[in-house]
Amino acid sequence: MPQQRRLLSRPELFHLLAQGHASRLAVLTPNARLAQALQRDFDRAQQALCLAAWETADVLPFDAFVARLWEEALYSARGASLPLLLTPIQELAAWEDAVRASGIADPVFSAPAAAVQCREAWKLSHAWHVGLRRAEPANEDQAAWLDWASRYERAVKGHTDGARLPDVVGRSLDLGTPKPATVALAGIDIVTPQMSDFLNALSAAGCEVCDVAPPEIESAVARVELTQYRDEIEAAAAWARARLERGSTRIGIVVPDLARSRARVARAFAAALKPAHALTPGPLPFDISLGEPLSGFPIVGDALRLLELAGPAVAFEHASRLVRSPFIGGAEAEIDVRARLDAWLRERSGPRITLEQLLALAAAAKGCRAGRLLDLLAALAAARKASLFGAKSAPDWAKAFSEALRVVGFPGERALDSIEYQAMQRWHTLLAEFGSLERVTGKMGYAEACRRLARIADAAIFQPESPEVPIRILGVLESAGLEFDHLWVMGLTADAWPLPARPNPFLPVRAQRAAGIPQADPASSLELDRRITQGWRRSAREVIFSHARAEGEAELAPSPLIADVAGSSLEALGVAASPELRAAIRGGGRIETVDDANAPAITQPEQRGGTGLFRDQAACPFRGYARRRVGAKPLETPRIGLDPRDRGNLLHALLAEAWRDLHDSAALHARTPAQLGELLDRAAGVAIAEVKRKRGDALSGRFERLERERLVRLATDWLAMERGRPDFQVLATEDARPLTFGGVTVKARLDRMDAIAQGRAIIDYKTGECATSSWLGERPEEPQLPMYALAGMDVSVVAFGQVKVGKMGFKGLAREKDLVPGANLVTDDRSRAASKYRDWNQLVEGWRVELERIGRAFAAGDARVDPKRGPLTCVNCDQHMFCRIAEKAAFGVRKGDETDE
Amino acid sequence: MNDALNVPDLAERARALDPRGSFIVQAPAGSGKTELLIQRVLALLATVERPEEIAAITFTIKAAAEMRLRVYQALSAARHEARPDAPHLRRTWDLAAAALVRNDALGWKLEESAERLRVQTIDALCASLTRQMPVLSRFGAQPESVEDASAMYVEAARALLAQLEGGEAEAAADVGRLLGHVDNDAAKAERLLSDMLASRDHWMRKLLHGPVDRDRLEEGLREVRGEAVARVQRAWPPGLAAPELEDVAAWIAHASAMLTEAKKWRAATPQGLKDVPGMLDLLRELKNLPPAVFDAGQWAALETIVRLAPRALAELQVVFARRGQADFVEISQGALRALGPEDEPTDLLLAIDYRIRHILVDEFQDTSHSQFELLKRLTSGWEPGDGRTLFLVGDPMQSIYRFREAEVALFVRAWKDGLGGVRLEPVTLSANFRSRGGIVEWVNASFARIMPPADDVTRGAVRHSPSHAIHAHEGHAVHVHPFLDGENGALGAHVTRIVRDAGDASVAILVRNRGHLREVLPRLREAGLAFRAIEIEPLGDRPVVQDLLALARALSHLADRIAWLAVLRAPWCALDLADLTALCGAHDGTTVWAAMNDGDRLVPLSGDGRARVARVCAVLQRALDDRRRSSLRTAVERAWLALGGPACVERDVDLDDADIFLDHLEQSESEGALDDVAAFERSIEKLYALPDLEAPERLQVMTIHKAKGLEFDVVIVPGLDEGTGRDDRRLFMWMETPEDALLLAPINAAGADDDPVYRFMRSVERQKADHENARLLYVAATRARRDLHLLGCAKVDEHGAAQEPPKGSLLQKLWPVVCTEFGGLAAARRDDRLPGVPAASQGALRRLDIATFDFEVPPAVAWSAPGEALARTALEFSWVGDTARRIGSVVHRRLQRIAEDEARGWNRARIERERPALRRELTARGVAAAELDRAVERAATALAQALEDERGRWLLGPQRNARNEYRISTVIDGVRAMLVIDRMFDDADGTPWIVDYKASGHEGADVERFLDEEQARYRDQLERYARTLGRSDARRGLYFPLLKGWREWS
Ligand code: SF4
Repeated sequence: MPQQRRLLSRPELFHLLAQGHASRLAVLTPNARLAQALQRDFDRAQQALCLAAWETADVLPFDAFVARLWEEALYSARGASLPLLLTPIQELAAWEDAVRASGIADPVFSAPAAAVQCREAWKLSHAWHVGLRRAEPANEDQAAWLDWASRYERAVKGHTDGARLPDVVGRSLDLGTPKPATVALAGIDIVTPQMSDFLNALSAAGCEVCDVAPPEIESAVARVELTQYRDEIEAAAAWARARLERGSTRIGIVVPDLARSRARVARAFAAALKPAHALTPGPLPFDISLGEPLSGFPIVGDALRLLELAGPAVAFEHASRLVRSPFIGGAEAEIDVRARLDAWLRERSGPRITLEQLLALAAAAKGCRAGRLLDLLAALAAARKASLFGAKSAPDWAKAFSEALRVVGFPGERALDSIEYQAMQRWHTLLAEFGSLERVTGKMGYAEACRRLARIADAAIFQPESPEVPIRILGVLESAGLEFDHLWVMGLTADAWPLPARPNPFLPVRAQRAAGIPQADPASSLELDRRITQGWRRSAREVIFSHARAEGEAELAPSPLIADVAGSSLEALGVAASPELRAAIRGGGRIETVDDANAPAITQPEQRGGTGLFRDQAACPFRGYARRRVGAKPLETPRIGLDPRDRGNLLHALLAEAWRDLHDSAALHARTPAQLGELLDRAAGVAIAEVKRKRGDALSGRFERLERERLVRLATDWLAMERGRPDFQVLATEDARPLTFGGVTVKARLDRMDAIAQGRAIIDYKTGECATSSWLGERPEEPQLPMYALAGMDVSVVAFGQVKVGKMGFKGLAREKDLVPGANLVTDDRSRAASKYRDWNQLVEGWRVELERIGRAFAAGDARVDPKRGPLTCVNCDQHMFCRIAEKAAFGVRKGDETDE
Repeated sequence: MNDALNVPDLAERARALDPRGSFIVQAPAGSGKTELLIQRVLALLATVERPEEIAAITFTIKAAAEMRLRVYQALSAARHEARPDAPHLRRTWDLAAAALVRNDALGWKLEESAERLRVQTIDALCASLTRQMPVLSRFGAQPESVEDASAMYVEAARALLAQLEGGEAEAAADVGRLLGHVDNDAAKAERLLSDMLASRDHWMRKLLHGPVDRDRLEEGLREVRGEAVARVQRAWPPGLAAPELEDVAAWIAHASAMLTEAKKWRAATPQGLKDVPGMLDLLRELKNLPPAVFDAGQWAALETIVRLAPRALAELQVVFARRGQADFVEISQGALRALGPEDEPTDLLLAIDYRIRHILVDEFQDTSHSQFELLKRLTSGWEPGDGRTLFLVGDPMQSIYRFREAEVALFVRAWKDGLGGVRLEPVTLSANFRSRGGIVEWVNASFARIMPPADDVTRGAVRHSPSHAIHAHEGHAVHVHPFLDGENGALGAHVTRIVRDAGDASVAILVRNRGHLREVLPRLREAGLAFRAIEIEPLGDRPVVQDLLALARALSHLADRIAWLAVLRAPWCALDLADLTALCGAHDGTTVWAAMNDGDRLVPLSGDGRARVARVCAVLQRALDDRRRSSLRTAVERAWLALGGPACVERDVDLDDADIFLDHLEQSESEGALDDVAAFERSIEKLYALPDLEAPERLQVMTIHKAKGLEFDVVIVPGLDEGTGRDDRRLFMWMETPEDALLLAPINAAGADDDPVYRFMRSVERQKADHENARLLYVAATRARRDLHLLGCAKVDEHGAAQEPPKGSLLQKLWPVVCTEFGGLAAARRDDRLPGVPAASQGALRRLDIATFDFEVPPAVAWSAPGEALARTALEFSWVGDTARRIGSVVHRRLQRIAEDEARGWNRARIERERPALRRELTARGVAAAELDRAVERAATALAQALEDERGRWLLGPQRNARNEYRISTVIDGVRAMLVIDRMFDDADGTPWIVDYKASGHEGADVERFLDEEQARYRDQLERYARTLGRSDARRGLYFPLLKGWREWS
């Protein structure tokens, strides 16, 4: 660039700025960061002169300056000849449509993602004058882009965009629009050909262009090696604290990988500077230059989810979040009941749910009726019917969106905190920006509108404002040209710095290189990064470069660009590890161990729930306590189709219904297959209707038909098997009665009781695997049938009825042989557990003793953590965190894992 | 590497450095292959135009980092150090020096830009290709690559199943059939489909090209049958008359008649046959063969699945695209698409401006199908002698990543046939620089018996290749320690003894499966032997993690009762059972939290209990009030600290484990909430507690997989007899025959027997697993430098003879070598009790002494935030308001211009003329098309009125010292602020004025009152202007052009 340009030192620059607007000086920077910093430094200088107020310095990023000139021109007499400027959002939408229109965007191809890259290529090609039309596209990527670019150009005819604006404005500079007398370039390292043309046009139009000298600070530079990245962050934080304590107010931290480690960095700095922050948040003396996507703020995320809920089915998790969201009406008042409602919904919903289904389920909820929520959801459903269908323009959708949110009481009754408040403000602008898409898009449907809005919210990087702070944490690009008292640049390992060349995929690489785009070529990219490194070295009195020795398991070397800097250590820098809050807490408490194996005895024999109480208590006394005394029940995760319990219920209901009709084996034999088929089909209908009350969404449509067929098939097979039995009569199905053992009374329910040649057979249907060994020995796993066997009903057979495709049959124990096929004598069982019993009576007596013992233990409040079969019992138990097995047992309670790394 | 004196394979090593040749190198354990790779990279550097022409591919990121580091060290040594004397060091130095000459001549600046040397994992290579070719790869933009995509497989499976109701008729019918096949168990179908997607690397190449052809598939069946028969025929003893049978089926019948139903020899079988080694297995295989044709039912099921597979893939791609994420397989598919079809490759020179001319692949034995395919595409069109080379290094004997889709047969294939069109010269290294002679010799002798004598591509078998020890023999190095089944405790104790006896030597205890340490670790702890367990102890088993998880769940969901109870039971509260029962024992549907806040319920509690509950209440109340304001991680950590969580942990390293958990929580949550708690808990199962860094490094415990590439003085392998217990069934089985035919079979229908084809393939899978077991054993054995200890338990029969260990265990592979040592074990008492909870801890409750608990917060840095200057205005969004604001800013802008022109030349007529311009300006500001007419009308009215209004003309007309849009900076309460004043001037009387325009309109009657309100509203603002400017003498004015309104005051 022209050497003859005037070079302003910083004091000279401030001197000029201090003359106020009369100097007609604009200072241009590469980014907003630097503009703010200059602005701030200047204000400080003014303040130091004890001025109460002064004319604001005109410091702004280059792009903003161009846009300002464009606007000036727009309001000038000849403004009509200027094209209108698209906003970035509009540009992206236009690119997206261009990509889609080319037909490439099958559902696999991500048009929105491609749009971002297109815009990037478009910008580069204009900024660097990469000739597009002349170059033959070298491959499909470049050809595709050329096609999209021409579609884009046609679509936005009459408009201009950020990429072309400097050309547009440069051409119209002579229009007599007001412009500064002088522009000073500060920190602009890379002057693209486009900028250069623009600046030439500016000087031609009588505006002086001069440069501001980069910071040239005599600095002490040191290099520090640390073990891991995490240590680097912590060291930098401790260092920043030490410098702040020495009174410095301009401390810079540069983090190359800031986007990914933002949260980590913020935490470490908070911990070092204000340990109490982890307990009570408050203002902190640092800020991080990088915002986060607006959609990632809970208040905005829930707004988007609410809009999604008003469309087709959503993932249950989303609906669940909304039910419990603090951002809709009545959330505080109904906080408890909504949580319970959600637990209820989880037992009934499928993995996806529509607004109507949600409303219906919530309205049917028992014991957890959330009235206000129901009203709001109903209002949303009404709003959906009234105004969320059909194709509309973007502004109309924006209106409909805000209306839909209004009816559900968004953003809730809790007072917004500062971040939420600002996010809300941004959200409102975002809706307005969405409305402005009208200029580049036509009408669209609701789902499409929602998707676009969500994408815009993803792309909108938002950072809540914070007060002015002494420590600033920046990415590499924002650090250019800034001046500090102290600067720490971390993460300078060989693999991270210099950055690899990264040519844009849509422009021919050769052309990019020929145009001089630094990132397109390893050599120029290295050159650029070397310059940036040099810049750091001159930008503060103290400059520290750090790098980690290892990341994970990989060993790392220092970046060659800083390898020559003399190594130093934290001690030499005067940095001591900051005291840790955790350590203080850890040292502040004493742990004692007490014995607490027993809950108080139960106060009444009747206990809720069925025989499962005995099962739990037998498996593990603590489990019995947890589930039965304090109702420790897990939340369910909605799953696809029917869960095993529902499937079991269907079958139980079907067989019960069938036997209510048939009564006995004679009737079974008498029916023709056709009659049986008819009977079973009807019974299946009854069963389905019953289960449908709970799982209406899963049992519908084609699946319901399939399920009905399956049930009939299964039952037909079962009855075919039962035809082979000696005569019997079904005395009861689903017999319910109280049973008492050891002072505990539970309500038991028996699937079926048959009268057989001798006594009675009691039967429990199982759709899964089952084995009679679960009745034997101490602490039996399945005590239900033994309990019934002791109920004084002359039982001579206890049997599981295994109703499973391919494995139909009874599995049981009997007083005598051949009473029921599959029910054997206990003495036929060769297992060790069975060897204690010499005959039926002894077996039954053994059951009595065992069940009495278990009942008494429960009644007495026995809650020892004593899983019957150690890890095997625990592995399928949901109480780990409550019983604290992890601190009691040497065995792991998680499922055994496989060979892996 | 050792001195070259007795290195037997020196010539081979030298040959492998020829930069013009392509090689495949078999490099057994301890043969120094990394050095060889580095030397070759250096040698190639001296020949290329740009360093990017070389691509070195490693198996892990760690290996890539190490290799790059070593190349740079070599370059640096050649630049800065003298040429060494030791011959093997000298070779590296020489090669590096030559590379530097090239570097300097061509100006690469390699030493400054590490990234120019492409040493990366194959995943990173794929990603760099797709990033450069977003259209060709069909991604649109680079998706984020995720390691664990299981949630997406499930989502895709769900979407496919959902087609039952809403999909195309054909898809719906197929989904219906699939459901029927699995007994309508949708969850099972979902699982099978998502597993199928997870392993798609294996099958999709074959299933994506149209419908499967029954004849072709059955051809495959016949081939398998024919081949099995041929193997029997080949092994048939010459002395024995072979039956003269044409037909394969007849042969099978004949041969299987030699065996009983239980697949043992029939007594009548001729002894000559029985004596043939391996004949029994061959005949067993015959009995296991699939039929030559599919039966109708299975064929229908198979067709359904084959039709559904591409649909499932399509759904998965949609899921990927929607999330902007992809798994590694998808990214490598993208890279394959980008590289173009094999016969018509994309010109990389045009796409990425450099050609890859040399490819080096490390650990080639663990290559997967898609990686193999990728290498084929990258090298397609390479001609011998055209200067492009491929260099594959690996050790098929160490291929142990089958569960990650590694396919050792690919190494064997490349060894034999080259890769794609590239011919490869085989190079076999044999020097072992690592272990002492005794170990090398034992390994040679043993694995010659344990590994098969020949490669078998179908069954993933590779033969053994011996090593030559460079170190001396030095005595007995391998120790087998036999134990009886059930003597796990004694075995654990013995391990402890070995560790003790090892003295200062580095010791590693290596296991296949973490469960195998159940008896070992407690004994080591008891014996006071501290160790570092590398990814051994599941993080979720740490009490501190359980506590944090309880908090996370409780704060996520008020009705998560177990979590809330756990919060009350954790040491920071540790409510005893009496109090807990009193508080939560009513079965009335209330939440624990409601109970904690219910005064009546607290009454029956002990005083101590009430205090404990109150403490927790206070902390959690704050957390709930602020729910979803910070990340869940922050909320959980805050509550944990406030409750005294760190005071409740057992050891210091627990605090680090807490961080691992919290970091994982942060990655899993979104917007301050966890969507799927169950999935989150499952994901924790993949995390491990950190090794105890306070323990000395000398004793480490890890899996054999983890130990790959490492070495130790002493290696102990316990639990050889234990299996993995892994046996998952896939929706369909798939395999390729040597003749490239395809075998496919569906999973059995619910309740039905296994399909014979399926069963056959499962048995082949088992054989593959079996061969891999041998290799795993090889990896474990070759980690040892000095001593190798092998421990296992075996059953003895009634006669005291040791029985063959269970299939699938490592001991079973080792059996031929060690069975004699297990003979003669005296029968001991069985002890197969499962480990339980010791009686003493069954009721033990750890609790924080809340009376004495106290801590001092370390001081904050001295700094006070400047006052919060963010003024709040009522947040109300209305569309009207928004448009009004836009009109306002255009009017302001216009007024500014008019004022700059001192209103000269401005009148209503001009405004009317400029309506189109106004329209543009309003459009530019974003006013919606539907509102434009009204907006133009309003703006024009406002401006015209201002120009006609006397007040307006005075205000906008010529004045002294006039300023428009005047910007001043100041500091208010320590906060910098910028004020913008619409207009400022001294009037004819010399009275200074400060005026703001307000473009507001007012519908309704009482305009005057509205103006008063507006004045009240903006009074402060104008006062601030005056104060800041130091012009309290100025008169303040508010001008309302639309209302022709005016307010002024002093
Ligand atoms: S996890 Fe184990 S110890 Fe805890 S309650 Fe369940 S069974 Fe008992």
